[in-house]
Amino acid sequence: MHISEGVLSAGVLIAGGVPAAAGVSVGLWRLDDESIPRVAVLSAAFFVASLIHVPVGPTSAHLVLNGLAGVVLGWAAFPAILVALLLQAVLFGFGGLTTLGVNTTVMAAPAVACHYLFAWGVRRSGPAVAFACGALAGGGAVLASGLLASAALVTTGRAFSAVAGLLLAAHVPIAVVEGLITGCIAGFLRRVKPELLDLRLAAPAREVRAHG
Amino acid sequence: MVERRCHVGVAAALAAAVWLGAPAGARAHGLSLFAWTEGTTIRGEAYFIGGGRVRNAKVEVRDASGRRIGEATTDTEGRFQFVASRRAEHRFVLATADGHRAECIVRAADLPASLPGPAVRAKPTTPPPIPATRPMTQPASAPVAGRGEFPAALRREIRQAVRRELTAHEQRTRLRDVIGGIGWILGLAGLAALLRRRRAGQGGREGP
Repeated sequence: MHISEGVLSAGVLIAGGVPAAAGVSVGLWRLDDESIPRVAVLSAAFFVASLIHVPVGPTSAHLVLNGLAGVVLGWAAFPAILVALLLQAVLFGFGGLTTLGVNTTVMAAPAVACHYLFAWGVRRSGPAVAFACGALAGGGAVLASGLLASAALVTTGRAFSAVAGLLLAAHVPIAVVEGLITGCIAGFLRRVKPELLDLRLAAPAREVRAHG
Repeated sequence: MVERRCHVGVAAALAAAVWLGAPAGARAHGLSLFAWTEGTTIRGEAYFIGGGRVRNAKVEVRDASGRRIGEATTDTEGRFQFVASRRAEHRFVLATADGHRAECIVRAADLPASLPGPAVRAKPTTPPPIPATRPMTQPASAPVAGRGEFPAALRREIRQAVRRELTAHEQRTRLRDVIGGIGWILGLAGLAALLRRRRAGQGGREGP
Protein backbone atom coordinates (compact mmCIF):
# COMPACT_ATOMS: atom_id res chain seq x y z
CA MET A 1 0.00 0.00 0.00
CA HIS A 2 3.02 2.26 0.29
CA ILE A 3 3.35 3.60 -3.23
CA SER A 4 7.00 3.91 -4.25
CA GLU A 5 8.87 6.79 -5.84
CA GLY A 6 8.63 7.26 -9.56
CA VAL A 7 5.41 5.30 -10.03
CA LEU A 8 2.89 8.11 -10.03
CA SER A 9 2.59 11.11 -12.34
CA ALA A 10 3.16 14.62 -11.02
CA GLY A 11 -0.54 15.39 -11.23
CA VAL A 12 -1.46 12.47 -9.00
CA LEU A 13 1.30 13.38 -6.55
CA ILE A 14 -0.12 16.87 -6.22
CA ALA A 15 -3.72 15.69 -6.11
CA GLY A 16 -2.75 13.39 -3.24
CA GLY A 17 -0.56 15.93 -1.50
CA VAL A 18 -3.15 18.70 -1.23
CA PRO A 19 -5.67 16.75 0.89
CA ALA A 20 -2.78 15.44 2.97
CA ALA A 21 -1.60 18.98 3.72
CA ALA A 22 -5.16 20.06 4.51
CA GLY A 23 -5.74 17.06 6.77
CA VAL A 24 -2.47 17.58 8.61
CA SER A 25 -3.33 21.24 9.15
CA VAL A 26 -6.75 20.41 10.55
CA GLY A 27 -5.23 17.70 12.73
CA LEU A 28 -2.53 19.99 14.12
CA TRP A 29 -4.97 22.84 14.59
CA ARG A 30 -7.25 20.66 16.69
CA LEU A 31 -4.40 19.16 18.68
CA ASP A 32 -4.31 20.00 22.37
CA ASP A 33 -1.91 19.20 25.19
CA GLU A 34 -3.87 16.21 26.38
CA SER A 35 -3.90 14.47 23.06
CA ILE A 36 -0.20 14.83 22.15
CA PRO A 37 0.93 11.67 23.96
CA ARG A 38 -2.02 9.80 22.43
CA VAL A 39 -1.01 10.90 18.95
CA ALA A 40 2.57 9.82 19.62
CA VAL A 41 1.55 6.38 20.84
CA LEU A 42 -0.69 5.75 17.84
CA SER A 43 1.95 7.08 15.49
CA ALA A 44 4.49 4.69 16.98
CA ALA A 45 2.02 1.80 16.70
CA PHE A 46 1.39 2.61 13.04
CA PHE A 47 5.13 2.91 12.41
CA VAL A 48 5.88 -0.53 13.88
CA ALA A 49 2.78 -2.27 12.49
CA SER A 50 4.23 -2.10 8.99
CA LEU A 51 6.86 -4.63 10.06
CA ILE A 52 4.29 -7.30 10.98
CA HIS A 53 3.82 -9.15 7.73
CA VAL A 54 1.15 -11.51 6.58
CA PRO A 55 2.22 -13.53 3.54
CA VAL A 56 -0.42 -13.42 0.82
CA GLY A 57 0.15 -15.27 -2.42
CA PRO A 58 2.98 -13.80 -4.46
CA THR A 59 3.29 -10.66 -2.39
CA SER A 60 3.08 -9.87 1.28
CA ALA A 61 0.97 -7.41 3.15
CA HIS A 62 1.43 -5.99 6.57
CA LEU A 63 -0.68 -4.58 9.36
CA VAL A 64 -1.62 -0.95 8.88
CA LEU A 65 -3.57 0.04 12.00
CA ASN A 66 -4.93 3.17 10.35
CA GLY A 67 -8.46 2.28 11.45
CA LEU A 68 -7.35 2.20 15.06
CA ALA A 69 -5.51 5.50 14.64
CA GLY A 70 -8.65 7.03 13.14
CA VAL A 71 -10.99 5.81 15.86
CA VAL A 72 -8.72 7.03 18.63
CA LEU A 73 -7.36 10.22 17.07
CA GLY A 74 -9.89 11.58 14.63
CA TRP A 75 -8.29 14.29 12.50
CA ALA A 76 -5.04 13.97 14.43
CA ALA A 77 -4.59 10.69 12.54
CA PHE A 78 -3.26 12.81 9.65
CA PRO A 79 -0.16 14.18 11.44
CA ALA A 80 0.34 10.85 13.26
CA ILE A 81 0.33 8.90 9.99
CA LEU A 82 2.43 11.51 8.18
CA VAL A 83 5.19 11.25 10.78
CA ALA A 84 5.07 7.45 10.81
CA LEU A 85 5.16 7.27 6.99
CA LEU A 86 8.06 9.71 6.85
CA LEU A 87 10.05 7.53 9.24
CA GLN A 88 9.10 4.36 7.37
CA ALA A 89 10.28 5.93 4.13
CA VAL A 90 13.56 7.17 5.58
CA LEU A 91 14.41 4.18 7.76
CA PHE A 92 12.87 1.20 5.95
CA GLY A 93 12.63 2.42 2.38
CA PHE A 94 8.85 1.84 2.31
CA GLY A 95 7.09 4.25 -0.01
CA GLY A 96 9.10 7.36 -0.73
CA LEU A 97 9.52 11.01 0.03
CA THR A 98 7.79 12.32 -3.09
CA THR A 99 4.85 9.99 -2.54
CA LEU A 100 4.54 10.95 1.11
CA GLY A 101 1.53 13.16 0.43
CA VAL A 102 -0.32 10.56 -1.61
CA ASN A 103 0.42 7.81 0.90
CA THR A 104 -0.69 9.99 3.80
CA THR A 105 -3.99 10.70 2.07
CA VAL A 106 -4.42 7.05 1.11
CA MET A 107 -4.06 5.89 4.69
CA ALA A 108 -5.30 8.81 6.79
CA ALA A 109 -8.46 9.77 4.89
CA PRO A 110 -10.13 6.38 5.56
CA ALA A 111 -8.94 6.68 9.17
CA VAL A 112 -10.80 9.95 9.64
CA ALA A 113 -13.84 8.53 7.87
CA CYS A 114 -13.78 5.59 10.28
CA HIS A 115 -13.65 8.00 13.15
CA TYR A 116 -16.91 9.59 12.14
CA LEU A 117 -18.52 6.27 11.29
CA PHE A 118 -17.46 4.08 14.16
CA ALA A 119 -15.91 5.98 17.06
CA TRP A 120 -19.29 6.60 18.74
CA GLY A 121 -19.96 2.88 18.79
CA VAL A 122 -16.61 2.10 20.35
CA ARG A 123 -17.08 4.79 22.97
CA ARG A 124 -20.62 4.48 24.10
CA SER A 125 -22.35 1.21 23.42
CA GLY A 126 -21.97 -2.24 24.93
CA PRO A 127 -18.91 -4.46 24.53
CA ALA A 128 -20.30 -6.40 21.59
CA VAL A 129 -21.14 -3.27 19.63
CA ALA A 130 -17.78 -1.77 20.56
CA PHE A 131 -15.99 -4.84 19.23
CA ALA A 132 -18.04 -4.81 16.04
CA CYS A 133 -17.43 -1.12 15.46
CA GLY A 134 -13.72 -1.52 16.12
CA ALA A 135 -13.55 -4.46 13.74
CA LEU A 136 -15.43 -2.60 11.03
CA ALA A 137 -13.17 0.42 11.47
CA GLY A 138 -10.01 -1.70 11.34
CA GLY A 139 -11.05 -3.77 8.33
CA GLY A 140 -12.87 -1.00 6.51
CA ALA A 141 -9.99 1.44 6.76
CA VAL A 142 -7.58 -1.08 5.21
CA LEU A 143 -9.92 -1.88 2.34
CA ALA A 144 -10.66 1.80 1.71
CA SER A 145 -6.93 2.54 1.67
CA GLY A 146 -6.42 -0.31 -0.79
CA LEU A 147 -9.06 1.19 -3.06
CA LEU A 148 -7.56 4.68 -2.81
CA ALA A 149 -4.13 3.29 -3.63
CA SER A 150 -5.54 1.47 -6.68
CA ALA A 151 -7.24 4.66 -7.75
CA ALA A 152 -3.95 6.54 -7.52
CA LEU A 153 -2.20 3.86 -9.58
CA VAL A 154 -4.99 3.68 -12.13
CA THR A 155 -5.01 7.42 -12.77
CA THR A 156 -1.36 7.02 -13.70
CA GLY A 157 -2.42 4.64 -16.41
CA ARG A 158 -2.47 1.11 -15.10
CA ALA A 159 -5.24 -1.31 -15.86
CA PHE A 160 -7.73 -0.98 -13.03
CA SER A 161 -8.82 -4.60 -12.88
CA ALA A 162 -5.26 -5.87 -12.52
CA VAL A 163 -4.25 -3.35 -9.89
CA ALA A 164 -7.42 -3.47 -7.84
CA GLY A 165 -7.43 -7.26 -8.04
CA LEU A 166 -3.87 -7.44 -6.75
CA LEU A 167 -4.35 -4.91 -4.02
CA LEU A 168 -7.67 -6.30 -2.86
CA ALA A 169 -6.40 -9.87 -2.93
CA ALA A 170 -3.54 -8.73 -0.73
CA HIS A 171 -5.66 -6.64 1.58
CA VAL A 172 -8.73 -8.75 2.23
CA PRO A 173 -6.84 -11.13 4.54
CA ILE A 174 -5.10 -8.18 6.17
CA ALA A 175 -8.44 -6.47 6.63
CA VAL A 176 -9.78 -9.55 8.42
CA VAL A 177 -6.76 -9.83 10.73
CA GLU A 178 -6.72 -6.13 11.32
CA GLY A 179 -10.45 -6.02 12.00
CA LEU A 180 -10.05 -8.66 14.72
CA ILE A 181 -7.08 -6.89 16.25
CA THR A 182 -8.68 -3.45 16.14
CA GLY A 183 -11.92 -4.81 17.62
CA CYS A 184 -10.04 -6.41 20.50
CA ILE A 185 -7.87 -3.36 21.11
CA ALA A 186 -10.95 -1.13 21.05
CA GLY A 187 -12.67 -3.33 23.62
CA PHE A 188 -9.53 -3.45 25.71
CA LEU A 189 -8.96 0.32 25.66
CA ARG A 190 -12.58 0.93 26.45
CA ARG A 191 -12.27 -1.01 29.67
CA VAL A 192 -8.74 -0.23 30.73
CA LYS A 193 -8.14 3.26 29.39
CA PRO A 194 -11.43 4.77 28.30
CA GLU A 195 -9.96 8.25 28.34
CA LEU A 196 -7.83 7.27 25.35
CA LEU A 197 -10.95 6.89 23.26
CA ASP A 198 -12.53 10.14 24.32
CA LEU A 199 -11.73 13.05 22.15
CA ARG A 200 -11.36 16.51 23.57
CA LEU A 201 -14.98 17.47 23.29
CA ALA A 202 -16.56 14.12 23.97
CA ALA A 203 -19.09 14.21 26.77
CA PRO A 204 -17.87 12.73 30.04
CA ALA A 205 -21.08 10.77 30.57
CA ARG A 206 -19.90 7.20 30.77
CA GLU A 207 -21.76 5.37 33.50
CA VAL A 208 -22.18 2.23 31.43
CA ARG A 209 -19.20 0.26 32.61
CA ALA A 210 -20.02 -3.36 32.99
CA HIS A 211 -18.17 -4.90 35.89
CA GLY A 212 -18.75 -8.11 37.72
CA MET B 1 -15.87 -13.26 32.06
CA VAL B 2 -16.19 -10.96 29.11
CA GLU B 3 -13.00 -9.22 30.16
CA ARG B 4 -11.01 -12.37 30.33
CA ARG B 5 -12.26 -13.49 26.97
CA CYS B 6 -11.22 -10.23 25.41
CA HIS B 7 -7.76 -10.42 26.96
CA VAL B 8 -7.37 -13.86 25.49
CA GLY B 9 -8.64 -12.50 22.21
CA VAL B 10 -6.06 -9.72 22.09
CA ALA B 11 -3.28 -12.11 23.01
CA ALA B 12 -4.40 -14.62 20.40
CA ALA B 13 -4.71 -12.01 17.68
CA LEU B 14 -1.30 -10.56 18.40
CA ALA B 15 0.24 -14.01 18.61
CA ALA B 16 -1.38 -14.90 15.30
CA ALA B 17 -0.06 -11.73 13.74
CA VAL B 18 3.44 -12.33 15.00
CA TRP B 19 3.33 -15.97 14.01
CA LEU B 20 2.11 -15.13 10.54
CA GLY B 21 4.72 -12.47 10.33
CA ALA B 22 7.59 -14.59 11.49
CA PRO B 23 8.30 -16.67 8.39
CA ALA B 24 7.76 -13.69 6.16
CA GLY B 25 9.26 -11.17 8.50
CA ALA B 26 12.04 -11.08 6.01
CA ARG B 27 9.58 -10.44 3.23
CA ALA B 28 9.17 -6.71 3.42
CA HIS B 29 7.69 -4.99 0.45
CA GLY B 30 10.44 -2.62 -0.42
CA LEU B 31 12.04 -3.79 -3.65
CA SER B 32 15.72 -3.93 -4.39
CA LEU B 33 17.48 -4.48 -7.66
CA PHE B 34 21.15 -4.81 -8.44
CA ALA B 35 23.19 -5.78 -11.45
CA TRP B 36 26.76 -6.51 -12.39
CA THR B 37 28.58 -7.30 -15.61
CA GLU B 38 30.26 -10.47 -16.82
CA GLY B 39 31.80 -9.65 -20.16
CA THR B 40 29.03 -8.34 -22.35
CA THR B 41 26.35 -10.00 -20.24
CA ILE B 42 24.68 -7.96 -17.53
CA ARG B 43 23.37 -10.14 -14.76
CA GLY B 44 21.16 -8.98 -11.96
CA GLU B 45 19.01 -9.99 -9.07
CA ALA B 46 15.76 -8.59 -7.73
CA TYR B 47 14.61 -9.18 -4.22
CA PHE B 48 12.31 -7.79 -1.58
CA ILE B 49 14.22 -5.79 1.01
CA GLY B 50 14.81 -8.13 3.89
CA GLY B 51 14.81 -11.23 1.67
CA GLY B 52 12.51 -13.07 -0.71
CA ARG B 53 13.11 -13.20 -4.45
CA VAL B 54 11.03 -11.41 -7.02
CA ARG B 55 9.92 -14.19 -9.33
CA ASN B 56 8.81 -13.96 -12.96
CA ALA B 57 8.85 -10.19 -12.99
CA LYS B 58 9.56 -8.07 -16.04
CA VAL B 59 12.60 -5.82 -15.81
CA GLU B 60 12.69 -2.99 -18.31
CA VAL B 61 16.02 -2.00 -19.77
CA ARG B 62 16.51 1.62 -20.74
CA ASP B 63 19.38 3.72 -22.03
CA ALA B 64 20.74 6.89 -20.43
CA SER B 65 18.02 9.03 -21.99
CA GLY B 66 15.30 6.77 -20.64
CA ARG B 67 14.50 5.16 -23.99
CA ARG B 68 13.44 1.56 -23.69
CA ILE B 69 15.97 -0.78 -25.30
CA GLY B 70 14.80 -4.14 -24.10
CA GLU B 71 13.35 -6.27 -21.41
CA ALA B 72 14.42 -9.12 -19.15
CA THR B 73 12.40 -11.48 -16.99
CA THR B 74 13.44 -12.77 -13.59
CA ASP B 75 13.57 -16.51 -13.04
CA THR B 76 12.34 -18.36 -9.96
CA GLU B 77 15.43 -17.19 -8.07
CA GLY B 78 14.84 -13.56 -8.91
CA ARG B 79 17.79 -13.49 -11.33
CA PHE B 80 17.78 -11.98 -14.77
CA GLN B 81 20.30 -11.30 -17.50
CA PHE B 82 20.62 -9.07 -20.48
CA VAL B 83 23.23 -9.10 -23.24
CA ALA B 84 24.56 -5.62 -23.85
CA SER B 85 25.11 -4.66 -27.46
CA ARG B 86 26.57 -1.24 -26.77
CA ARG B 87 29.03 0.16 -24.27
CA ALA B 88 26.55 2.58 -22.82
CA GLU B 89 24.72 3.21 -19.64
CA HIS B 90 21.98 0.66 -18.95
CA ARG B 91 19.16 1.40 -16.57
CA PHE B 92 17.16 -1.48 -15.19
CA VAL B 93 13.69 -0.69 -13.90
CA LEU B 94 11.48 -3.15 -12.09
CA ALA B 95 7.94 -2.00 -11.38
CA THR B 96 5.30 -4.35 -10.03
CA ALA B 97 1.63 -3.74 -10.72
CA ASP B 98 0.83 -2.80 -7.14
CA GLY B 99 3.07 0.23 -7.07
CA HIS B 100 6.48 -1.03 -5.97
CA ARG B 101 9.46 0.05 -7.98
CA ALA B 102 13.22 -0.31 -7.98
CA GLU B 103 15.94 0.86 -10.31
CA CYS B 104 19.63 0.28 -10.81
CA ILE B 105 22.23 1.53 -13.25
CA VAL B 106 25.10 -0.23 -14.99
CA ARG B 107 27.63 2.33 -16.13
CA ALA B 108 29.24 2.26 -19.54
CA ALA B 109 32.69 1.90 -17.96
CA ASP B 110 31.67 -1.48 -16.52
CA LEU B 111 31.16 -2.94 -19.97
CA PRO B 112 34.02 -4.16 -22.14
CA ALA B 113 35.67 -1.63 -24.43
CA SER B 114 35.20 -4.01 -27.35
CA LEU B 115 31.55 -2.99 -27.59
CA PRO B 116 30.65 -0.05 -29.78
CA GLY B 117 29.78 3.21 -28.05
CA PRO B 118 26.28 4.51 -27.47
CA ALA B 119 25.91 6.23 -30.81
CA VAL B 120 26.80 3.26 -33.02
CA ARG B 121 24.37 0.49 -33.74
CA ALA B 122 25.83 -2.90 -32.94
CA LYS B 123 25.04 -6.36 -34.18
CA PRO B 124 22.85 -8.09 -31.62
CA THR B 125 25.09 -11.13 -31.39
CA THR B 126 28.37 -9.60 -30.31
CA PRO B 127 30.66 -12.34 -29.02
CA PRO B 128 32.54 -11.80 -25.74
CA PRO B 129 35.76 -9.84 -26.21
CA ILE B 130 38.87 -11.82 -27.00
CA PRO B 131 41.31 -10.98 -24.22
CA ALA B 132 44.41 -11.98 -26.16
CA THR B 133 44.07 -9.16 -28.64
CA ARG B 134 44.48 -6.36 -26.14
CA PRO B 135 45.32 -7.44 -22.63
CA MET B 136 47.46 -4.39 -21.86
CA THR B 137 45.45 -1.65 -23.51
CA GLN B 138 42.36 -2.06 -21.32
CA PRO B 139 41.46 1.14 -19.52
CA ALA B 140 42.90 1.11 -16.02
CA SER B 141 39.55 1.98 -14.50
CA ALA B 142 37.91 -1.20 -15.76
CA PRO B 143 36.58 -3.21 -12.83
CA VAL B 144 38.32 -6.52 -12.31
CA ALA B 145 35.22 -8.57 -11.57
CA GLY B 146 33.63 -7.57 -14.84
CA ARG B 147 36.52 -9.00 -16.84
CA GLY B 148 35.76 -12.59 -16.09
CA GLU B 149 39.11 -13.14 -14.43
CA PHE B 150 37.56 -14.97 -11.48
CA PRO B 151 36.32 -18.48 -12.09
CA ALA B 152 32.52 -18.72 -12.06
CA ALA B 153 32.47 -20.83 -8.91
CA LEU B 154 34.49 -18.29 -7.00
CA ARG B 155 32.27 -15.50 -8.19
CA ARG B 156 29.22 -17.39 -7.00
CA GLU B 157 30.85 -17.97 -3.62
CA ILE B 158 31.64 -14.31 -3.24
CA ARG B 159 28.17 -13.28 -4.25
CA GLN B 160 26.56 -15.64 -1.76
CA ALA B 161 28.84 -14.49 1.03
CA VAL B 162 28.06 -10.87 0.29
CA ARG B 163 24.36 -11.65 0.20
CA ARG B 164 24.54 -13.44 3.58
CA GLU B 165 26.40 -10.52 5.10
CA LEU B 166 23.92 -8.05 3.65
CA THR B 167 20.91 -9.94 4.94
CA ALA B 168 22.38 -10.21 8.42
CA HIS B 169 23.24 -6.54 8.31
CA GLU B 170 19.72 -5.62 7.24
CA GLN B 171 18.22 -7.61 10.11
CA ARG B 172 20.46 -5.85 12.61
CA THR B 173 19.87 -2.37 11.30
CA ARG B 174 16.13 -2.96 11.10
CA LEU B 175 15.85 -3.42 14.86
CA ARG B 176 17.94 -0.34 15.37
CA ASP B 177 15.74 1.58 12.95
CA VAL B 178 12.61 0.54 14.79
CA ILE B 179 13.97 1.78 18.08
CA GLY B 180 15.31 4.93 16.47
CA GLY B 181 11.98 5.63 14.78
CA ILE B 182 10.07 5.31 18.04
CA GLY B 183 12.62 7.63 19.60
CA TRP B 184 11.94 10.16 16.86
CA ILE B 185 8.22 9.99 17.47
CA LEU B 186 8.64 10.48 21.21
CA GLY B 187 11.02 13.36 20.58
CA LEU B 188 8.57 15.05 18.23
CA ALA B 189 5.78 14.61 20.76
CA GLY B 190 7.99 16.17 23.43
CA LEU B 191 8.80 19.03 21.10
CA ALA B 192 5.13 19.59 20.30
CA ALA B 193 4.27 19.60 24.01
CA LEU B 194 7.11 22.02 24.74
CA LEU B 195 6.05 24.43 22.01
CA ARG B 196 2.46 24.39 23.15
CA ARG B 197 3.43 24.97 26.75
CA ARG B 198 5.70 27.85 25.84
CA ARG B 199 2.96 29.46 23.79
CA ALA B 200 0.47 28.97 26.63
CA GLY B 201 3.00 30.41 29.09
CA GLN B 202 3.49 33.52 26.97
CA GLY B 203 -0.23 34.16 26.77
CA GLY B 204 -0.74 33.59 30.49
CA ARG B 205 1.55 34.87 33.18
CA GLU B 206 4.43 37.30 32.86
CA GLY B 207 7.56 35.57 34.19
CA PRO B 208 8.45 35.45 37.91
